Amino acid sequence: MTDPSRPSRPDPRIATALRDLFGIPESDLRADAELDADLHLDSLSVVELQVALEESTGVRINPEDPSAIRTLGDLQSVLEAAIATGQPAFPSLKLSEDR
Amino acid sequence: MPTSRTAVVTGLGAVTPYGIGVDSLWNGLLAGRSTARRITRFDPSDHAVQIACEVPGFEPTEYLPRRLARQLDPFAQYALVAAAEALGQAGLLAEADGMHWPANDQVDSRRVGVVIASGIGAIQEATDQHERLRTGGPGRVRPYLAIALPLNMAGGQVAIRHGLRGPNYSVVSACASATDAIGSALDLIRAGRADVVVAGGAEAAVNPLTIAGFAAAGALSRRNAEPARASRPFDIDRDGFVTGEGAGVVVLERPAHAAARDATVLAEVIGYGISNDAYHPTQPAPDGDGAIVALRLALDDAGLGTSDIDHINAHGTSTRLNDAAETVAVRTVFGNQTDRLPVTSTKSAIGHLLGAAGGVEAVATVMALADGVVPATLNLERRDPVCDLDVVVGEPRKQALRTALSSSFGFGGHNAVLAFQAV
Repeated sequence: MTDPSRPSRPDPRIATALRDLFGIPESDLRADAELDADLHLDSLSVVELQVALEESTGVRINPEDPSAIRTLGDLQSVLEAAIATGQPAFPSLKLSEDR
Repeated sequence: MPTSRTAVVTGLGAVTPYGIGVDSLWNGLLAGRSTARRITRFDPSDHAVQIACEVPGFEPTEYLPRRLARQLDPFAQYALVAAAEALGQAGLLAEADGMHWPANDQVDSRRVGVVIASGIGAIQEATDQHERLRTGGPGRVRPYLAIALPLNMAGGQVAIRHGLRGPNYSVVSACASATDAIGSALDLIRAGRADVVVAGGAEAAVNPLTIAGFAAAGALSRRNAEPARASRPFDIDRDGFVTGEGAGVVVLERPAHAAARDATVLAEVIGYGISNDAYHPTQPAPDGDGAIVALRLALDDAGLGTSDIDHINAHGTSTRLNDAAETVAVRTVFGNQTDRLPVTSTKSAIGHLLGAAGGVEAVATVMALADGVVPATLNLERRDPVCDLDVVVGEPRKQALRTALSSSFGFGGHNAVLAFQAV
């Protein structure tokens, strides 16, 4: 899903959330960075990030297939689509399967 | 399954209203400086009680990775910082790869346990997320609530961070919680279930909900205009306790295990007494009954008589009922030995850390034994006639100390007493 032609600079809202929530520096934020393997975000952390992004953008982030979001570029595409759709944030979220 | 009747203390850690670290606690107690102030955690203007002993300037990411800090309520943050200090002093932090075991091949991580208690737990997380639920709906509640809220997560995260794979659970007995945690750690070592146990308590309850509730119950001092004089155990003008926050953690170890790896031994835990008043949810039994049982059990467990004890770190909350009932209990147990027994209340300086109190007071008791000095109790200006113990006032009292007791009593009728011995 990642578009390799995308600019490597991440959306500042994503960069801010990743720094504030998890201490991930902007220098680690390549578009092809995998949320799991490269940024070490477990499923719980991805939902934590989602809640923070919904709060900072005010729109609902509700991808059709959450498991398709593997890289930072994927996440950025989903965020941009959500902003374009403009659904208000904070309907119920998919619950994590972490114990 | 090697066992031992006693356990040695090989590490101490503290986060207290004096700041981070055992040194700041011990220096503050010896200096006799009160830490009670007007509350800054929230605007207390509408509250009947506006004072507390807060941990000053605590920025969790100075001590913990940001991601881990985000997963923790402040009570657990305090626990992790104190545990790291204690493990470091015990020589049980691996230097090579930061925080992960095995620190050395003399220690089996499956035999390193953690028992970290709290009386209240993640009240800040609960109230913060409840507010988000109320104002934004279910989708605003953060998923980390599921790991920040449970009371066991302080100990769980200590184990995860440091790779400690042995027995791990929490105990809850209100203001006796941390003392019971250390007693449980002693039991684990006696039973042969662990060689090392990281034990203590953590609390972060300077929160509008907790303060309002404990104030409504009449437990807290209302001396808002004079916070530094508010916690005054055994004084005739005492009017309740001052809420404190922080964590106190000890590393207990099977003596032969510590000796085999040449660990520095700070003191020994030789006895534990535990009982319940079975009397009232908040009031101690006026005749000190349950406390008497716990004190006697601790002495018996340690194989000591009343003449063997050199010092008591009292529960000494500064409530009218506790200090009177505790005095009755000590007098009943120690009889004519009472008048030669220096007593102090750590709570006079740092407030009542609730489920962490016994952890910090265990640290203070070990330091008293190691240094041969009992810190003074602050604000004891006019002794209540019903509190006629030899409470150390003014300057710290230098005195050779061989043994000491640390007492904790809690809402619910819980009584717990630990016996320590100098090395």
